[in-house]
Amino acid sequence: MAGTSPILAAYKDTTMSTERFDDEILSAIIDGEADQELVASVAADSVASARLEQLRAAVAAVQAPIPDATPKRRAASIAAAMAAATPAPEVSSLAAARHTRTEQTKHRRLNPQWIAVAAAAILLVVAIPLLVRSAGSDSADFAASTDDSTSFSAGDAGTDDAADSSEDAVDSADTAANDAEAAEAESGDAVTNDGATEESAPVAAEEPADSDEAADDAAVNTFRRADAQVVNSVEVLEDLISLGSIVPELTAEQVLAEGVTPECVDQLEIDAGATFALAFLDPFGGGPRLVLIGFNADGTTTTLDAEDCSPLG
Amino acid sequence: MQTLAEDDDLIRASQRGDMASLEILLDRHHDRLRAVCAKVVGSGADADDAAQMALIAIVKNLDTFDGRARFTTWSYRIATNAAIDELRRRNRRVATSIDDDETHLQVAALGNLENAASARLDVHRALDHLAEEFRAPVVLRDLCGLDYDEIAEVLELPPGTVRSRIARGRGKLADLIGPVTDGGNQPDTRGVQGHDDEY
Repeated sequence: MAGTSPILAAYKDTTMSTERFDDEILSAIIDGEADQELVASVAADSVASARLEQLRAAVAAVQAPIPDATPKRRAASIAAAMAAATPAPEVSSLAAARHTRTEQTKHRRLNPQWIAVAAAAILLVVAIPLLVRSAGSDSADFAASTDDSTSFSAGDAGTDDAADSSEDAVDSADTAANDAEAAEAESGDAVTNDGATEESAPVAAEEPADSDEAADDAAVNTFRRADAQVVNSVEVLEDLISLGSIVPELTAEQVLAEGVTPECVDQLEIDAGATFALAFLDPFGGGPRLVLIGFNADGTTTTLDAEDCSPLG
Repeated sequence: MQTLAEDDDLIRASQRGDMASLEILLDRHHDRLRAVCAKVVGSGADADDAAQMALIAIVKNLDTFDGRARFTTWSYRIATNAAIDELRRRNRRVATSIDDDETHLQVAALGNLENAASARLDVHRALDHLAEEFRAPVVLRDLCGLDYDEIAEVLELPPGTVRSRIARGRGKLADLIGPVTDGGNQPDTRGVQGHDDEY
């Protein structure tokens, strides 16, 4: 018996048995599809009978009860399905996303980080041109320097056509400035200024009807040029949120209702109850894609392609 | 049957946009569909995910349900597909997680599937090691109680193929579980490997 386990021996016996009564025949007996003569023949064959019992045990294993889902998880699944039955927020629409952002901005408490971003945007739009003009530089130089120093356009700044990048950077910065002013006005917290705001304010006042379109254009330009590395920074996320190309502060259920798979959500490995953001970005220039962003406990973010859960950046 | 009649009413109401009826329908069938998912994917968390995806798919496709098939059969198809999708996603994760020792063991166990005599496993994990093509038919037959024709409809396979796969699947499961002791139906679970705590 050395070298041959009882299990292996039984297996070999079973294999031999299949010459007469293979698993398909024995399976048919289990399903009640065999005639009495066949059943009797198998019963008379000890090896076949043993195999039949093995197959019955396999059936029993499949039928073994499993623990129920937890009430919380069960309720979450049903809630997610119910959410799928209701019209979901149109996150693919920049206008809708922008509206969402506007509503959220109204209720957003004063955020020092946001103020810093706004102040930086104002600085880019107002102060740098003044400096550039005073230095006698031409506008192309200004645009290039702005592009290099603007975080949300830094991703492809070196590869884009220089003129386009410059225009985009100015558009983005303009929009960020307008949004920043709106946020400040809403918060009732005036930015200490040296006249720069007074200089830019009339621009916003003169073209209120165009500001939304300009913002959307800027958002399109921004998300088309933002690469994954850039998106993986809280500061740039704030910029993109301000431009309306990201819908922030979504719950897990809302994200799932948008068609993001639970695997993607799980992959972010963030704390329960944390929030997510959904965005349409074009990280690699292949066309806009839905991106899922999770906010980690340590203040960093994790960005996934919502289609295949692959990490971006 | 009263339940089927009620299901029909709920389905019709749901198709008209009655959210309360839809919620009752989903609540009523969740456990049944999750059980299928759990047997196919073999993990509690994955089963929950698959069940959720199945419910969402049911909601999104309910308008296409025309009543020609039983709702249970139709929803089994959706749940099975959701579970298989979840299984494939998990397998991709396994394939790419080369630093996980446990993963190595799982892959090794899968590789040893043919050497069933040496791969005796916990009955609860045996299904994990059954190839997908066998797992779904076996679950639909032995857990859900569908007949061969219904399984063929769910899996879009010829009934003969279904019959063959069920037999082979049961056979492989039997080999994985090991011999039956004392002539009863309880498999020998001595020396089982890696009991899954989730189950």
